[in-house]
Amino acid sequence: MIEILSATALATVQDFGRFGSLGYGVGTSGAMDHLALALGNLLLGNPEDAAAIEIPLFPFEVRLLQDCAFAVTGAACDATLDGQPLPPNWVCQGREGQVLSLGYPTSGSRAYLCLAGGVDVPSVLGSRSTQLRGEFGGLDGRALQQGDRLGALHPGISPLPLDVGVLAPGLALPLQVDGVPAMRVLPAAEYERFQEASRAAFWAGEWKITTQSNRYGYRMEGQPLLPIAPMEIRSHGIVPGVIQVPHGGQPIIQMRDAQPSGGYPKFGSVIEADLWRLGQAPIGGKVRFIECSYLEAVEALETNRAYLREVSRLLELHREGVKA
Amino acid sequence: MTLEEIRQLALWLKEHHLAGAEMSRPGVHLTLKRGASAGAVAAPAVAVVEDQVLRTTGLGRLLLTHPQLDQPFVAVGDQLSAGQLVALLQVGELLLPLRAPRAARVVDVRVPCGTTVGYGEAFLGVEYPA
Amino acid sequence: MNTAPVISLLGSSALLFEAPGELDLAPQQRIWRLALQAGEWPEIHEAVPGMNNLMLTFLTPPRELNGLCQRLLEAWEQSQPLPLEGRIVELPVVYGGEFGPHMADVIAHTGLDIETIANLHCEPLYPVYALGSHPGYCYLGGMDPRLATPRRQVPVLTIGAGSVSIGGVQTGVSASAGPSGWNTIGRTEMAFFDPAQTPPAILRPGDFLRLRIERIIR
Repeated sequence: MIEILSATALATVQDFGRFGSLGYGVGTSGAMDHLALALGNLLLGNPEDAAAIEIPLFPFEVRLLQDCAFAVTGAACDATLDGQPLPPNWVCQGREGQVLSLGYPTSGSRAYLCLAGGVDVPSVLGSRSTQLRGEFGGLDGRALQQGDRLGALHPGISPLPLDVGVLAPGLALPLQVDGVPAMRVLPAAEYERFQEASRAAFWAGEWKITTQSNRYGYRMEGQPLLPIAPMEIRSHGIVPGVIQVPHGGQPIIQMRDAQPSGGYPKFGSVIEADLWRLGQAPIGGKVRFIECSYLEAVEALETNRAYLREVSRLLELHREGVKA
Repeated sequence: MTLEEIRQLALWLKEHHLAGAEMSRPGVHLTLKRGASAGAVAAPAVAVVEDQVLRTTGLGRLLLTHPQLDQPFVAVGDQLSAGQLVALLQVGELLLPLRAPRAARVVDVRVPCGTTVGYGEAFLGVEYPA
Repeated sequence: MNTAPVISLLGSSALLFEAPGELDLAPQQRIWRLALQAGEWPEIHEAVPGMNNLMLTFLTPPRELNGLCQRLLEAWEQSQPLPLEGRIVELPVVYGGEFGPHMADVIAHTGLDIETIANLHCEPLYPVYALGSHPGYCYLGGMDPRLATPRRQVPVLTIGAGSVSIGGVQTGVSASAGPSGWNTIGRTEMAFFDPAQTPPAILRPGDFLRLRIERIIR
């Protein structure tokens, strides 16, 4: 069990997300950087999609109320345990009474605090992710507050060898254009109904993630995307990554807490395999977009899975080696 | 040469797609060729201490700075405490810790960051308190 | 308005099928039928009806899409309307005033006065076409086209639960507080969603909403 010490904001319990309830108007929620979540879980020997705490604002501080193995993945955020520095993307055995502090990120923007076995909150509609709009899931359907206590499913001393880390996904799977983080995008239904100059500018230009960006959506700033003629679109299901363009021309990338449906014109969709890159891109930062094909998008998903399989394999070998 | 060391060498061959490797040490000469499946990775955290050097505990890439950070873990002149993290051994995507076995002062750094190292290579010269 | 069905991609996560023709109940009933069928296909995780359209989310996206698209078009060609008939739920609505912050915009766009707007809005029996947007939210069909007002240029950060709004040619009632790009003209009260229930949404496609004027605040 851990106790939240800092007057934190916007930290929520997330797993991979809640699927199968889109037909009730329930969006998927889930971790903004699912790779970081999976890595923390693999380091702990948890199921890959076990629930963890997603931390988007810093500093963040917790006290361990009992012995518990934990991992901090995602953003490199000057983590210390009772003042002793912890390397980024690392797993260790925590002891009762120790204080874990996360400072301002030096790379990335969201950290994941994973606990042995996963965070112990009830599963609602098949997931432990926090559904903020519906006020259910995670811890009482809300962001964490100072004083909250959260249990781990497997507290105590871990039987696994710990004190090991992984290479960050940003380094293992780099993607940049002109030194700026990049995401691949597939054009959507209304793509051709935008002006050609707008379309060209979308691929060629830098896009800034404005301060009005959060788990619901990222409001981007760049050259306005102008339609050839006004469009009124019928409401339809959407998924995270869909790039909507309201009348102003400044696109909004729908993120994990976005409405599961919408009716604004769609320019394109950031591919599922690159959503984690957006999840780690900081507010105020610039990104670029790369046009890709459907097949490339499908293969990118396989590349992500292969990376997680490889990490899992190496951890297995490491554990066997230490036992021998 | 222990079985553990041979297993580590075998894994290194597989990880770096090498067909074979040789390793020499006083009294021992070992030649390995790939063919069999890889063995287990084993890298106990505490660096092997002989004389006043810290040695690597396994095969991989020696990293003196964490890939996500700017500053090296240690610098010449630093006072190390027992258990302090001084370097990393990278094996594929895994980062294994190399820690000081006991308090010491860093005298010199023997191996450049990013070098592929074998088992038992001296990477840090240290001086133990009198 | 399309004269033929349109199939497009939502990244590599889903396909979007848009039915041709005017927005209407008969095509929506065919979408319900299509959703029942496609929801069973091996590639598909969930079939999610929208307003005369259908999103199919993938379990694992297939490398080859042609077969799936062909199957989808054929299923649509052959689909007969699924005449779901559910319950009729009546909701009292307070129109205008603090509960209708965008009533003035609808008046300006439509050229109608508030009385006419409220009466035209309460006239139809609204079928629930689909759920979406947020937990328990119902997309309704059958709004009088004279009330159509485009979605707002800048979405509003938060509008209260029970808000009655117009977006383009559609109308709906929000089930919880949150952001909205629609024009809010009134407020009602109803519990639309309970995660402890099965199913958790109180209303479903095939149900009907009847609105009646509780009060008009000028």
